[in-house]
Amino acid sequence: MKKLKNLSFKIYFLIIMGLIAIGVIISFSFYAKKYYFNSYSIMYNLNRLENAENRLNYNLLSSSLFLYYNNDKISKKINRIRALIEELESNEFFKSHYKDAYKDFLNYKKAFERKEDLIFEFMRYNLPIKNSLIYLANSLKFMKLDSTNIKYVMNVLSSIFLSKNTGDLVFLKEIGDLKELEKFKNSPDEYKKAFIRNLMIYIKYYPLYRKYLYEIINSSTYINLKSAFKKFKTTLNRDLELFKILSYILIIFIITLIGLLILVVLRLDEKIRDVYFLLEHDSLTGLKNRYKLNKDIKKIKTPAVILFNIDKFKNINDYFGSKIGDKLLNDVGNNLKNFFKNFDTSIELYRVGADDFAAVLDGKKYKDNELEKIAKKAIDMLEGEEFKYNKTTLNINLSAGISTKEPYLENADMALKQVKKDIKEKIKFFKKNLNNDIEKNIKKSKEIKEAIESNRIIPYYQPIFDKDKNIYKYEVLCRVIINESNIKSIYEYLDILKENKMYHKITQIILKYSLEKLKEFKDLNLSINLSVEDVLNRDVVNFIKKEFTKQDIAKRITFEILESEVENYEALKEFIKKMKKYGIRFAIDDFGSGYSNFSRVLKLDIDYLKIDGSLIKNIVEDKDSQLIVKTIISFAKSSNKKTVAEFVHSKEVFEMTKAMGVDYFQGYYLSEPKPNINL
Amino acid sequence: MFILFFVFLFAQEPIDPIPLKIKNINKEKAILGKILFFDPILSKDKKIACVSCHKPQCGGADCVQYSIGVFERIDKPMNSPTVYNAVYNCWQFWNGRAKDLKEQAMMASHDPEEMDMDKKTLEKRLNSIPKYKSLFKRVYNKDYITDDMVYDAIEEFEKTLITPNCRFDQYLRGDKNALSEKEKRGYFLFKSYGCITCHNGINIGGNSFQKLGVFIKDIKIPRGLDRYEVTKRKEDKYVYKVPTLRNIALTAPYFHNGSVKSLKKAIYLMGKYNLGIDIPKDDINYIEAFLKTLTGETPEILRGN
Repeated sequence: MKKLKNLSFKIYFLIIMGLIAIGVIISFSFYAKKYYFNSYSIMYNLNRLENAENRLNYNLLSSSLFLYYNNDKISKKINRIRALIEELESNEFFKSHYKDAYKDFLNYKKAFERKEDLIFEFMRYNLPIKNSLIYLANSLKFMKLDSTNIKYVMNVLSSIFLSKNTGDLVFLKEIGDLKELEKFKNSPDEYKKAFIRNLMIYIKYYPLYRKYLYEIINSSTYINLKSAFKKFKTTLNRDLELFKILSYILIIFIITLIGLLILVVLRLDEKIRDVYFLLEHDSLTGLKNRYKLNKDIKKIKTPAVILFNIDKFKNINDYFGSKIGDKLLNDVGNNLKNFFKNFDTSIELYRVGADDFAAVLDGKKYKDNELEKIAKKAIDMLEGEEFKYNKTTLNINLSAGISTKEPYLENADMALKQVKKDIKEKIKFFKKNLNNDIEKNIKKSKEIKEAIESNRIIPYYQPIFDKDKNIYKYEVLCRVIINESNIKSIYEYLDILKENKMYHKITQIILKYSLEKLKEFKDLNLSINLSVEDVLNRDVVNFIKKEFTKQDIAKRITFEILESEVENYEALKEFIKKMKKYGIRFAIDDFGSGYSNFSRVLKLDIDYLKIDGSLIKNIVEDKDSQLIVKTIISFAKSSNKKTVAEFVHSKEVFEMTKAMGVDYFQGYYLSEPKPNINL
Repeated sequence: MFILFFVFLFAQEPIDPIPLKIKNINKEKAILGKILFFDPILSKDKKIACVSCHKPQCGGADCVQYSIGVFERIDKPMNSPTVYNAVYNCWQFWNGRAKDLKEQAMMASHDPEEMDMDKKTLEKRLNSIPKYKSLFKRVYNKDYITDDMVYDAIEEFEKTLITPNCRFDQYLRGDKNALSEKEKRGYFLFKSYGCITCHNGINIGGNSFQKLGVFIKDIKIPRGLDRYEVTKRKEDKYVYKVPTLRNIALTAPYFHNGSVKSLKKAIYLMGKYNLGIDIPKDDINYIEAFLKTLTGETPEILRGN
């Protein structure tokens, strides 16, 4: 139970873990998607920014190289970079997640703002320089030049060309030193004047143009952007590594989870198999159980059931303890199983009750008489076996009921009950009329109830004789008057009475009759049967205390108690002890049948032992009976008890028992029971 | 060496034609912008609209030196630049203080000498007019009109104010007969004098800031709102955005303060101030003839009005 609880806890644990895993996967993929999307957009924009930067520098260089240039290209690039910067700057993910890169990016932004100013500045020198260049080049066509002038102009132009293309300021210094400059300034030729003006602008603007161009080209924007990009990639790689580790962990976690799940499922499977085994098997003997029998029997078309029962197993359990009882059951079960295994492997054995074993056979294979033979063989085998447990050696008797009719087990059980009622038989085949038992029982129950109500319960008296055939006392027997010609012994009603808890009523009736007789005949001694149930019944006990403890009554009374019925041993012992104070005597009835326990009888402080009829009946021929009776007599003598032989049905029996030392005799040979007492 | 120069000279045409069709325009929004552009409710005294200083009949500019703002305040010292093709300018205003048309619209709206409006009044006025409420609702699917939506719609309208297919553009697209020989010579002179170093790109200007009077030490023209007002660097005094030359024949008077009435004078002064030369009269005529080929078609959205 604890293990199952443990298992279900594990299952819940796995479910929770599974849910956590799913949650982690979902949030992980959600985050990863968001991360990927944002990072991709940042990287894409950084890339575009880098490209735009390169394009801008290219455009600026082109603008400085070509005299004619579409400046839209530059200003458009500037606006584009601004837009990209704005977009990146407002990207919260960039700001919060790529802190280092973002910091560099902000530095880049500052650098770009500076660069933008530089570009505007640069353009303010770049364009006039170009205009001057255009004019200086064109002016050759307009100016009227003599040979010295030409040389001067050519020198100027070559210096300008060299300065523009080398980027070296040295060439400009040469121009300023030339004396011809002044002549041009004062010349009436407007073109010459314009030539000088443009030259001056060129000389004035070129160093600034050059300074700004270099400043722009060497601006830190590129370094900052590169650094931002590098740091972005570092963070990105770190994150990707983290993602990788995380997904490994997740995979390991899920694999572990699946492994655990498989383990739990296997365990559960094992448990289910265990439960199934327990469901279908008896834990004591390992045999299959009643549930399995009911299941299996459906698979056979014409089944036959032999139901075995250990006779008086309850006594064995009581006397030797349940430990030995359990061992015995186990051994009996396994012996039976082996017996059938050797006999026919198709026969299955089940333990269907405490000491009930059922063999299920195929009815087609075995005829009815063969079934009986099998049962007999099995019983013989087990009865011949000695079961040894430490110092105890046990022999057992078995009975069997057989059925080939539905309901098999119930019918076999009914047949078995029938066996128990009949001492002579050990095996009984279920027949339809057995089924009538129930009806019979109902009928009997009705009969006995009516008999009690209409005072048709009467006592019979059977004298008990001493060795000289003098009447020593009478045993009070009970008869039921069915009608005038049919008077039955109470014997056949005993079971019903006990079942219906009416037995004490009969005892009370008999006690009343007995009391009348005792009052009527002052010398009369009576032996009255008391069941253990009576001893426990308050009405009966009160009646006995009230009426039978008077001195002249008590000493003439003997109560006969059936030893095998004793369940509440202490209560009985107490009762006997109390009653003996008043002089009432006690006898053990049917002593020697079943499991008579000498030591217990000794403790009960009994006066008489009534030797069981089955021992007396065949005593003349049966050596075993003789031996047992001898033992009982010697036991009685040595413990100061008198013996009574029942069932003395012939002269031979009388003589033999007398010779063996029995004290009193009872039986048809001497006198049958009579409704009245003849003194 | 000269051959090298001339190779550079004719390497490529540094002017792009205006596209014949505008792309990516939300028509409904542009129409809403148009209504707003013409509505004087956007100014404090409800007398001045955007169109007051950017008139279709004046080539998208004003025909006077100084525009008249709210309460008849004279918007000195700057001349109103044309709204036509303004979308192709890299920055707005003479000194480039607005980065785009939307910002320009907002600044003009807030300028006390132009419309003198504030966000609160503007929104209050427009939200009280059912016609606008439903128009804005249709375009922006919002129940409350914000100033941002107003400038956004105006910008959308202004994006449509382009003047494509001028004769020079036809020439650039390959029609060599679109220009007369005189005009072609004008274009050649425009290039060879160096005008084109600043006046290039799709708008023939509008893409750089340059100093007025490179060759003049002591210029007499008032500075007005120059680049210095934005950067506060002394080098930026007298620096302005190079104006577009498109529709230049329609947008007199010229220069940042509208001080030059004729195109010829403007060409002459530019040569004197910024090229350091006196361009001969004949050449000025040629250049003027070329500049007159830059007058394009009236924007489609304004036709039929």
